Amino acid sequence: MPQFFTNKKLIVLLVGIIFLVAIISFSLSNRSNPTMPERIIKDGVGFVQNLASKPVATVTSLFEDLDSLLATYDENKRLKAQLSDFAVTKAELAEVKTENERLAALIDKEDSLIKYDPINATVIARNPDQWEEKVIVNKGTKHGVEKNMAVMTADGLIGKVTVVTSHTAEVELLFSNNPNYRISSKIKGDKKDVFGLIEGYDEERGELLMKRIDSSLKVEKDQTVVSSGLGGIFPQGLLIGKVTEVSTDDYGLTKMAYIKPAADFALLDQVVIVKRETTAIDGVDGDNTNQDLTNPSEESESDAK
Amino acid sequence: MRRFLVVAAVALLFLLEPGFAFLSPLQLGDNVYYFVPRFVIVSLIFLATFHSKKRAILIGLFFGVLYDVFYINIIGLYAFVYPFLAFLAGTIMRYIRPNMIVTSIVSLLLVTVMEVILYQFYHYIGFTTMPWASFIQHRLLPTMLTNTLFTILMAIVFVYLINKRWIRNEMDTV
Repeated sequence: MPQFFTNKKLIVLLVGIIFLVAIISFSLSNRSNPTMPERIIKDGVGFVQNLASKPVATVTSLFEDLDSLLATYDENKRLKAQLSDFAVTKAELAEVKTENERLAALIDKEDSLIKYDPINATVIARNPDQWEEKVIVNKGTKHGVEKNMAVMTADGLIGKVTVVTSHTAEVELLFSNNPNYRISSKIKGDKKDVFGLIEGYDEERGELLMKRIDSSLKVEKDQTVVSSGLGGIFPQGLLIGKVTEVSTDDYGLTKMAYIKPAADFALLDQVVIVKRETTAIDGVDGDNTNQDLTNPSEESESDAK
Repeated sequence: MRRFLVVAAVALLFLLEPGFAFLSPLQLGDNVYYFVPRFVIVSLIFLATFHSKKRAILIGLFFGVLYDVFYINIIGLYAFVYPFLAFLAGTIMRYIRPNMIVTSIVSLLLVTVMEVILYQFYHYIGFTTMPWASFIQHRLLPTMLTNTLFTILMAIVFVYLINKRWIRNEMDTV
């Protein structure tokens, strides 16, 4: 029977394990940006993956087409019912928009938290081991993507950018238990909006948790939740989801709501990365450093002090 | 030449994995099922058995590093697991006489071991709060189902390759 480990192998194994522990603990520490070799590998693999994802996308879109074809009849009925409402709403919206513009011009108000530049991106890969819910898209710093930006589909918000290299960006989806993952949001009320923070995710229910809601305010089921824009990075008014249940927080001081996300997270292929037009501050939506992200010169000055 | 073909085949599987991940998770009623494709490790186990253990370990290390950097951002996780399982497979196969059925069963067992190692690791560092029962029901069983199908496919491919004498069956000489 051959010896299981020879001496040389044993040394290699021990050195390997020490190196392994060191490198794992290095990568688990709070790093803000990927290192140079990581960026090179990410861009390289991203380039090849981008090419490889095209035929795969054709196949998956075929599935999607088939799926939507089967649902056509029901959808048609539902849409017809909505169409008459839509015309009225559209006319109203146009009127309100022009009025809003006129009023904004009247008071010299140029900035708005609602305005944003969309950056269209294609999903090139989804983390295959699916422990951390994230997707990788084919736009990076070259195209104006920055860390912590909001990412949405036509249906609503899906996540935010966590790592960005020159040609790829990683989007961490809303289903995250990362304690640093917060989105400043608000529940649209009839008269008054109710503010809170989306933080955490209930794995059993498959719903998001909105915490730190003022307990004196009333929150009801089926109210819409949108981003508030007060977290510094996200624009205002991106649809997040609907309230399904309201309960109290762990400490009983504030309310907590369960939110069912509006976007569909299966078969993500096209996403929009949202860059807001007003000054961005690294607030609650980001890492809470309160640095001015849009005017980096000021930031370096304040660092010098 | 053959060496490059082997690496190219594994690279192709590596690129296909996220494509299959697009079809998952599948929601049936209230339950969400995760099908995790483990094509690379299954092919590495077959390579370690029928081709060369050392080469399988090296290829495993290479693709493990790529996987870590590109998807996980924790360097050293897959870079350890892939070569480790390839080594384990090669060592186990030296003591039992491998045929296709035995290799398939061993590779499925090793993929289960890998899923459990990864689950324990992610649980330890707090990435997931999923309890054991839910892990087995929603992740392990659907994942093993997918990989059983893939392993059968892999076994058929390897039978073909060995019959064509494309891959030297080194196990016959041991």
